[in-house]
Amino acid sequence: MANIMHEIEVSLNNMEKSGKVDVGVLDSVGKLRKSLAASKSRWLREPNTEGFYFYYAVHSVEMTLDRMNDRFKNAAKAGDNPKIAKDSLAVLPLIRRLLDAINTDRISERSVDVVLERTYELLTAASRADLREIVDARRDMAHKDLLKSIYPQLMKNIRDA
Amino acid sequence: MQHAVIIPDTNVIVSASIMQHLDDIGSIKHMFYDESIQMFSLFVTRSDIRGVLVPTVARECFKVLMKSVRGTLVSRKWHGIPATKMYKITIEIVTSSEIKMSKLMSRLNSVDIDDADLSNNLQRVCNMSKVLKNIYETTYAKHTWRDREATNRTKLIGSEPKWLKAQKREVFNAHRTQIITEARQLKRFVAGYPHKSDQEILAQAATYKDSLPSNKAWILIASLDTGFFSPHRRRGTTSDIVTKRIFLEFKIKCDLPRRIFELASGN
Repeated sequence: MANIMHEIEVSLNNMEKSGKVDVGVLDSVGKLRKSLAASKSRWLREPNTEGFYFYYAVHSVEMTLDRMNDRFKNAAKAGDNPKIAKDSLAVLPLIRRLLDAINTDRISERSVDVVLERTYELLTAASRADLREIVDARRDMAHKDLLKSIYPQLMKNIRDA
Repeated sequence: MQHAVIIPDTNVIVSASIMQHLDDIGSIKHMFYDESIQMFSLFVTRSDIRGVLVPTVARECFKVLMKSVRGTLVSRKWHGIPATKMYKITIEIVTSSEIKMSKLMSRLNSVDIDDADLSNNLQRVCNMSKVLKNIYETTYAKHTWRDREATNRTKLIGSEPKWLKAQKREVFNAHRTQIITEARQLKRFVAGYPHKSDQEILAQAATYKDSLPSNKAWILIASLDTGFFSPHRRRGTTSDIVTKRIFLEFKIKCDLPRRIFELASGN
């Protein structure tokens, strides 16, 4: 994973210097995205439900990479050249830091805190760089009844937090 | 003229972020959503009222949101629902709430607090907390003390007319109910002691207050936490034993968002 991150970084730096977007970087972005699947599945199987924080961290990286992918693909049409390279360089170190934090075998209070802090850092920076996923307002209909049944408990928990 | 400065506690920002429109089902929202969002409306409609985001609140909001949502959705066994689906729903809720939370936080003025200035106020907050803990342990925690205190509060002062026997019992019971409410608030306070985050928030609010020209701003903290930043209400009685102490020490008024809205807006 470290090698792929390095490839992306080198490629983005070259784009920034030349002022031209090279969509070839998307191969590396795709490879990184694929390499996250194992990590996501590992945290989904984790018996300790605090694994959710780690799962969400991986999801956040995936969503950032997906948005990066879309912007690179449309960079020429959207006049996003070379801004997308600069924006991607701004979030890349945060993706690396977050992936380092979730690369652990043991969930502890400390590791949860670190993962949550770094996830928030990434989300905030991705928002600023327009690299957040665009949320589809149409909610999955299948989830409605379930959502309705669990909300009162959710509300109570948030109040008590 | 003084202007109001409102510092929302983490739980107020989180509760104002939880609101889902679910088409035909209607909308489901946090039980304190309405009053929390009403308070946030002041930062848009009233130029004389400012919202301030202190560093600990900014740092803690996302954690509180995540931990609350996980505690409800993920840590339970939902019969027949696979983890993948639960995680998908949880992510939907977290994502939508987090985006709303960021928008709300952008309505607040982030302030930097100097560590050197903070340490003095943090020490004052710690001392105040110790005093409150000590009050609970030496008085309110003891049932015999509560009865004695209710009797003392029932005693007539000076030349007041004497109670009738039935009245005396009624007054004693009213005082006892009040004392139990105060005891419950202090018990909640002690259960969360030392309230590291709350102590930091109060110390940051006090330090921010100190940085302003005197008598120019009126500092208010809005919170849903009845164990620290807001009065505890029960059976028609209210205990402000903690918030009153905060006001005496720091001249900062703390209450629920609904009361803060009323106080700040004059409504």
